Parts: sequence; structure tokens; C-alpha cells
Amino acid sequence: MKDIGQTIEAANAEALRRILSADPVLVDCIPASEAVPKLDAGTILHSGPPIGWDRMCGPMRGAVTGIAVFEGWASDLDDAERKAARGEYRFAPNHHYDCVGPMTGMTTRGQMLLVVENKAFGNRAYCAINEGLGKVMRFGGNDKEVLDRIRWLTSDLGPALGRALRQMGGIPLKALVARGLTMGDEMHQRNVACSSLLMRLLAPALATTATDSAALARCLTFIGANDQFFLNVAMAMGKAMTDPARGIAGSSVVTAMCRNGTDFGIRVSGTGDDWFTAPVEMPKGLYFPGYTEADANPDMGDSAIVETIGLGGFAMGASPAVVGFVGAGNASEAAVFTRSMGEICVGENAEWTIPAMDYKGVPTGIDVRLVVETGIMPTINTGVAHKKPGVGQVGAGIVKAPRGCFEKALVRVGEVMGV
Amino acid sequence: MARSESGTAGQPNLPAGQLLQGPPVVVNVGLKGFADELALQGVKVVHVEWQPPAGGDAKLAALLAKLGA
Repeated sequence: MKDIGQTIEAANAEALRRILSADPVLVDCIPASEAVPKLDAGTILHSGPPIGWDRMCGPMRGAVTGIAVFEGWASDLDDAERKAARGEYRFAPNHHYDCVGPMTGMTTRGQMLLVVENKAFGNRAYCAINEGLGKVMRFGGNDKEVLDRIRWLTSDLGPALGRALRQMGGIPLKALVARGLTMGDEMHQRNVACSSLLMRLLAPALATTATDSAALARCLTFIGANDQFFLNVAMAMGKAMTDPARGIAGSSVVTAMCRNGTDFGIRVSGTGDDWFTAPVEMPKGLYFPGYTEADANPDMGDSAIVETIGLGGFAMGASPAVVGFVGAGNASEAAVFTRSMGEICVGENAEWTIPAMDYKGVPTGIDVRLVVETGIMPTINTGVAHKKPGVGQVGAGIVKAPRGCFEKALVRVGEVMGV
Repeated sequence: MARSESGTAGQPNLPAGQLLQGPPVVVNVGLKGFADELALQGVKVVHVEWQPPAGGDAKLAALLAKLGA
């Protein structure tokens, strides 16, 4: 008879096997109402673990009011705020609906969603289209410029992406990400290589399925001007890769990390759908001219799903340029982050390697036992939103996942295992 | 932890009297402040980041042991 440690090791090996054997393919871009039929009118999905209006941070409230106006559920932002405070909207985490969203992570039935299918397991995950940089809803922006951009994503770019992807039969993502790692991306705060590779693949199909050259030009210009366009694809990929690893009895591997700007939450394979939460921390990083840490909102977004699959802060060794961008030290220290994350993971991804680290695979499969034992907290690369609604991004940095999540998860793993 | 530079690493029975006859090479484990102070004085020092399991929380450390960590 196996002892508890052996049982957990075997379950963790299975969780790692499922994550590593995933075959994520970007297959479509479709209306959220079609992708997630149970997403009904009046329901607003947000990033992170569950939270109500009363505890939402400034940028999250700003995004909620903006998306309510976009959906026609409020006449203006003030009306939306009153209705939200009266409880007229239902809030739920993206993760409960097979979705993820960066920063505030607004997902509603009127938006277009990118679809990543994990061909190895048959499951799908969804993420809205990246809005670009600057004043955008994911950072709490909600004015006319922000809403008009989302309307265009819905009416033009989303359908165009859908037509192109269906014509191509989808874009396999594993090899694309592998190549991006060799070109200096870590797929969280640096996506310039993967965005460019994706554009190169998409452009011919966008052109052949377009009916209007001016509309095509606007689509190509938008994608080409957005270094972070691939982020939302990478996030849906992360969700599609980790979902099959949920629900493995005895496993202490983390299957989701996310933040709503107030709480940080994790899920663990062997503990069902429970969330283990702790207060979010403040990112340390660099701020755009005119802003300081005093303007910043604490950590936010579902984007830590990319760290959950070994990218972002875990793949920092592939991306010395991002170390400077997020203010994490010298470029020569990039590999230190990746080695450190290796201390808390059960394995490496042999298909996603880092040339500058002698083709070491990115560390994969965070084990809550190792996190608590070593005190090494997952490192997450992140954008930083202004703490007030409607302002937008003010910087970028790195942040540590809070220890409390992992300690609570460990205690629950112990209860589940009967110790 | 220290050894004399004239000593041989791995030699278990080095006489204590010889330990500090040459400049020491120090491996500091845990609190980085000790390593920083030695480095300021020009002493060769290698710092090892270490902390007790679960940050010294006995209850969590016991749980970790039961869970095979």
C-alpha cells in the first residue's frame, strides 16, 4: 500500500502529464453568447476569485460600469454604478465559465471571444480580444473611446478573426510559443515575438476572407500596433491546458492562479473547485512618466494562468528584456527567476525550452507543498492599473503570489488526504 | 562554517588549531546580514539562501512531513 507522499507524487505526475500533453489550438473567434450559452444578460464575468461589488477595487468598478453601458444594461456610467450597487448585475469569476480575462477581465455575452481548443482532451477555453495599450477597459478605462474600441472589436475584428481562423483550420499554439521563447518572449509582459508570428500566420487568411480592403487594413494595423495582442491567446491557451489537470485525487498541483484586485486566489487539482484566497500584493516595478506607486492598484487579472503553465515570470530566463521593462533588476538576473521557480514545480516542459539556459525547459506544475516548504512564492509579471476608475495602465512590474493562499490550500490537501 | 585555505575541503580531521591560520572562506547560511558584513570587511563569502521549512511554522512543517514533502 502506498503511503500518502507516494500517492501525492503519483497524482502530481499525472497532473503534469496532462498539462504537458495538451495540444492547444487557436480555432475561432465567436460571440460569447455562442461560446458560453449559460452566460446570460445581466451577468458580468470578472478576473480572479469570486467578489461582489462592495469589495471591488476602483478599476474593476470602472470596468463593470463601462461594460454595462456597452451591453446596453445602463444608460451611462452613473446609471451603471447605481444599478451595480443595487445588485442588478450578477458577478462571477471567468474561471467558472471556461473563460479568462486580463486585468479587470470583463466578459459579457455581447463580446467576441477567442477560442482555444485543447485537441488532446477536447476542452475549450475563451478570452476576449486584447484591446491594445493605454486607456483600455482591462485597466479600468470606460470612456467613449474605450467603448467604441470594444464595439469595433465586436463588429469588425472579432468576426474577421473568426473567418480567418476557420478558413485556416486553426493555429497550433505549442510550436508557436516554443518559437516565441527562443525570440525573447515570456508571454506575459513581452509578447512581441508571438504577436508578430501570429500576425504572419493570420494575415493571408484575413486578406482572403476580407470583403473590404479598408476594413482589412484597419484590422491589420490594429494587430500590428499591439505588442501584447498575443497575451489573450496565451491566456486562453493556459486555461485550456490546465483544465484537464483539475480534479485529480491527491494532487497538490496548482491549476489556476488569478487576482481580482482585492483577493488573490488559487485552485488546486486535488481539492475540487475550492478557491484559496489571500489579500493581493502591490506589484514592484516601473511607472510611466507622471505616476508613482501611490497611484497604483494592487495586483489584478486572470493572466497569472500563464505562470501556472510555466510562462511569464517562470520563463523570465527566456526574456532578459522583460526584466528591465518590469524593473526586476539586471538582465543577467533573468535566469535566477526561472531557476527559483523550478524549486517549487514538479517538472519542466521539454517542448518549451530556454536557449540561454542550455535549453532548460520552463518549470511547470506548481506544487503547494513545495511553495509552503521553501517559502518561495510564484513570481508573476504584470501590468499595473491606476487605482481610480477610468484612468488605465500606469506601469508594469512583478508581484509575488501571497503565502496565505498556499498555506490554506496545503491545509485543505491535508484534510482531503485524511491527515 | 569556515575552513582554512591551506586545509583540504572534505578532510574530516583537520586540527581545529589550523582552521583559521589562513584567510577564511565563509559559507553563510540563512541570514544574509552576516554575509553582507563579512563582504564589507573584504572576507570571501558565499551566501546560501535558506529558511526553515514552512518559515519555521511547526504546525505546517509537521503537515508537510505527513504529506511527503
